[in-house]
Amino acid sequence: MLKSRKTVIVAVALALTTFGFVGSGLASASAPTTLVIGSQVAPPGLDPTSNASAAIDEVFDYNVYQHLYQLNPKGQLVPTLATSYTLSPNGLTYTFKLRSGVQFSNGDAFTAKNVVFSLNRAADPANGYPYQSLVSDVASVTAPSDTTAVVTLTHADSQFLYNLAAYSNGVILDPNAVSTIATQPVGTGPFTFVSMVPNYDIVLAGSPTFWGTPPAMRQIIWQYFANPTTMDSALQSGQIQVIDNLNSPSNVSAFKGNSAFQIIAGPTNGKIDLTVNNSKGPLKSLKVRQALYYALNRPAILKTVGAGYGTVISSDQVPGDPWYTPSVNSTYAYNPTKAKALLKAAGYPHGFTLTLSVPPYSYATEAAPLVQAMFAAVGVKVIIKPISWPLWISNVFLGSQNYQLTIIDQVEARDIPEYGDCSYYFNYAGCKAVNQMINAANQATSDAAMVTGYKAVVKKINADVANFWLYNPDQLTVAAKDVIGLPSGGLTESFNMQYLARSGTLSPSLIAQGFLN
Amino acid sequence: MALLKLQSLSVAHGDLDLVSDVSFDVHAGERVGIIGESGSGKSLTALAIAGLLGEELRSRGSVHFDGEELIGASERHLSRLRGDRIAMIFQEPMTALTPTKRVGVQIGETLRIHRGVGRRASQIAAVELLGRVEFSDPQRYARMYPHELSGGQRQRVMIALAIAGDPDLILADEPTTALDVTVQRKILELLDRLVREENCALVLIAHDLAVVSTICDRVVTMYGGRVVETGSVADIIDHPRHPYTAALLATSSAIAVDVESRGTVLPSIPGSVPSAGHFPGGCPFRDRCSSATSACLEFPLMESGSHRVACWHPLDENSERGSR
Amino acid sequence: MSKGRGWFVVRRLGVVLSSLVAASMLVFVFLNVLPGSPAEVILGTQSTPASVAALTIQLGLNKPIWRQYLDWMGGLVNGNFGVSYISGQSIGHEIHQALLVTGPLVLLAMLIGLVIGVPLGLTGALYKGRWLGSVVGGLSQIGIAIPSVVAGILLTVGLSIKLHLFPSSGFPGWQDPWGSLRALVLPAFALGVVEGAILARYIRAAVMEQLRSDYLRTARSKGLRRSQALRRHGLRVAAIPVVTVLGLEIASLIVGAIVVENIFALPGVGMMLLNAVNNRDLIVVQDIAMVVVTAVLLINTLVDLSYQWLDPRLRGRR
Repeated sequence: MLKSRKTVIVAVALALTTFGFVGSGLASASAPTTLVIGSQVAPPGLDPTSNASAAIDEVFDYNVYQHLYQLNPKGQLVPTLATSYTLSPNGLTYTFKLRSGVQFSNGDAFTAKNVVFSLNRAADPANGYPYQSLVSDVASVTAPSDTTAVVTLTHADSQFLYNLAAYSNGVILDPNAVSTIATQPVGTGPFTFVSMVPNYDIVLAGSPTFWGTPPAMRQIIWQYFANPTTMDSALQSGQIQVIDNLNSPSNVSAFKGNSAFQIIAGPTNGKIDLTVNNSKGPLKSLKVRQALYYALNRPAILKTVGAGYGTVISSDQVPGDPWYTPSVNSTYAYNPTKAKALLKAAGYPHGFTLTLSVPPYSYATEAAPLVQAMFAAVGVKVIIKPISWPLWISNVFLGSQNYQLTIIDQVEARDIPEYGDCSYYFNYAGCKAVNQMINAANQATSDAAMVTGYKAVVKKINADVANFWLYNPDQLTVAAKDVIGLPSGGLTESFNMQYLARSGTLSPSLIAQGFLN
Repeated sequence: MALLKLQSLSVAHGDLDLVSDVSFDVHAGERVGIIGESGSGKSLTALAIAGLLGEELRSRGSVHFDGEELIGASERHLSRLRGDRIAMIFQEPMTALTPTKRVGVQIGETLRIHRGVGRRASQIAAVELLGRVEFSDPQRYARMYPHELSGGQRQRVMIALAIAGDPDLILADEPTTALDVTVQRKILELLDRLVREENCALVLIAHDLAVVSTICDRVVTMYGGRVVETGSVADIIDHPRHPYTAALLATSSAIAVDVESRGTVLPSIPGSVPSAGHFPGGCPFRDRCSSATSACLEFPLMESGSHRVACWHPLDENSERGSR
Repeated sequence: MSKGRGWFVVRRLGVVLSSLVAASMLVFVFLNVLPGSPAEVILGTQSTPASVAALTIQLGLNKPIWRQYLDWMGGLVNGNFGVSYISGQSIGHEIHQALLVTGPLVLLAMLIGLVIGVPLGLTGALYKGRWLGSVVGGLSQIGIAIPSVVAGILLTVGLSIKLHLFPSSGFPGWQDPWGSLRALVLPAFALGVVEGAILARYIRAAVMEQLRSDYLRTARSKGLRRSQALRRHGLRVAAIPVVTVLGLEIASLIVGAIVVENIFALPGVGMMLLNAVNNRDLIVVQDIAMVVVTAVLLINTLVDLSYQWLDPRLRGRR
């Protein structure tokens, strides 16, 4: 037995260069091939192209639907349905070489025609893709051959490929299956959709038509728990094996120090912001914003709200960003004395009153009283106003944008261009300047120039205190000890399940990509 | 030998005696009336005999029925006597019948309990019993529910129910009080006839002496939970010796007419019946009694004989009534 | 008499139908004035005024409100619950699936409530003033004071995590009947314990009233022992207030199911409602509201009909 296992491992190790995965399921026939993953927010549907819900992307993106290029857990581009691409010197034309022999789970073949159909569908505003604006600069998509797809842009966009990989705009669809996309997802990924009980679970099975190494887990069930305590007990009692992310990081204490579980704290794209409406009252004043930013003890907030899992940030950046500038994060360190002096200089020696709109998320409701106390210490009174999520979108985010402060996790990756959007709810006065800087950076022909351009934006919005960035939270995955192949963090919308297994070891190349052994 | 022999029967609620030291006999086929205003302990005495006192009440003393002691007997034992040998008729026909069961079923139930009679046979018997209590169409009435009947009809059903088990003793607790005056007489006549036919002993409780005098052989007067006088109907009506009996007699409707015809109008009893537990010590009637003296602070012993009275100042045996 | 009862049923049905129409209007208007549009929630932080407007048209939410109401009601009358804005799934199918969880959950809870409440109530009444009665009274006090959330968590910790007797959460589906029943036991207990405690109090009061009644004394005078008399003559009348409470309690059980389904992660109607409200999935909320209203109205009608069956005095009355 030992000998045969060794043989298998050696044989598979040879195959690693192609697909980079140890077929642990093959190594030991008795290892379980079913996994149950618990999560708190149930997807409101199955279609990632019609709903911005992150819970849909988490399950279906990369796992059922695939992109030309995808992100690995470290946030790096990995060729998937494409094998390579070339970019024209003017930065306008991408030519993708496509993988051959790929089938959709209904048996239809994948060709360049699917790329043309899918990207055109995403770019047409009538189809209501949530991230349509990210592909609005596509001029044309053509299919010179079955294995070549050409995408032409209206202007150079250094973020184009990343956006196509990161968001559901990039999923490649089968036109024959689009009419039933809401109920019967069909993709090229390692898993196929089996069934859903709304608000309860989603069952996926290993796809028999998948072009890569079949996943070790032949069945994966996502089970949803509105009550986090119930989810914790389900993991403790062995009903589920993985919790994708602890929404209340303090719950980690239930698993810490217990050798039956592994706790994985990994980076995300999230920025928990005390968002500022730059156009309202005293907050229009730069001195006031500086003062209040000094008044916030952000390491203390991270410790209380995030149980210490995360990174204090002082601009719209996370450690995964190419333009990440750690030095910026040491600005505006907690200094209430300076805050009081700045308030006095701004003409508010006796402070003022602000309203803080708090959406029903645990980080927001837990951070709000801390903010209230810290501002009170420098003489600014905060009224906490709880607000439902639909109302938050209607009144804070859109419409009248009638708010002064709110707390929200801006989860989208590389969303710093929002500071260049003058209609965005920050109402940031420097938006026009930032917009120009970002356009310039996007059209840069070298990566170095692009990064330099973005770094300047990171610094400018920090200097203008366009927002009160609090911290970049970690994703806190908790799993039974024997589960391997978990993504090391939350830098992708997808929770990549392709390499999950319950025995064996992971190849070094996958470990290098950020999958955990 | 007496069928029913009460000796020093008391009923207490906690430490408070509501009925004290009641003793009298009922012989087989004899009809005894108990009179007294409400609150005098008549109903409690009847319930104590049948063992149907409420949970919170306790009886002591002795109730001998056909040579058996009933005080302290088990519920199982008492339930074998009830309905079979001792039956009861209650005051309120409106509430004394189960609203959810057909009249025939309720009557027949006694036979099913004690005679092991089947459903069908008990129904035939129930129809026959309804006929005996003068229902013109007993078949139809047997299928009715109590709320479909008038008060008088319901009380006739109660009587049918009581005689169903062919008992030796019927305890009738103010069976006509709740009825219209015109119906009262018919019900009494019916009861009188049936008790005669069955040759069954009857204890008839009433607050009206007139009711008792038409049916009964003997009268027991109760006041304040005590027996104050007993004697034959003739003795009591013609020669009441206790001032309370005399006063009751005076207020009694039918007999009052008699009195009036003799040109004498007697006043109603002065004062009112105190609530239970608030009767004065000694003779309970003393603060309503015009002849009361300091002797009345102690309860007088009952004399012996057929016409007995518990009073320190009984009315003269030979005089007709108090005023004379 | 039988004509009277037929007329009663017809009248009741009329009341039920007009109540349903009134309820549908209320629900519809209330949800439509609720701030927050489905399009905005679908797009989330990707909302822009343009994308929201486009999606609103795509969802048909730009039609006049009376038109939307008639479309919805027209569908309902034909047994078509419509399609969810948010998930694109058939709502009728989803509600059907959810009812297969909530229905058995509520029934099981009711059953547990009766199993707890009836003996407790009877014992409390028959042993009033003795130590057994006091113990029962104390137990039902505690039962009422415990919210089902707490009962649920206590049961989960005790029976599921510590003893592994029952699953702490989840629902395998009725293709596994034994597993499904096991999954419903704890949640039904969490709901039913409180229910049973409330029932026990009403039953105790109703039975005590019966024990004091004249006709029970009459029944005893016929030779029935106390417990026999109660069983044959008292229980049916005592059942009337209990049935009333039971009918009211079913409505509160449905509400309680929302909380309990949340704790035990059950895919029932409560869970569906909660998520639909959060997602502003208006048609789903409307449909569930109508299903619950219909259920409550039907139960009330059954309760009224059962009064007539239980108490002949009420027959022929309208």
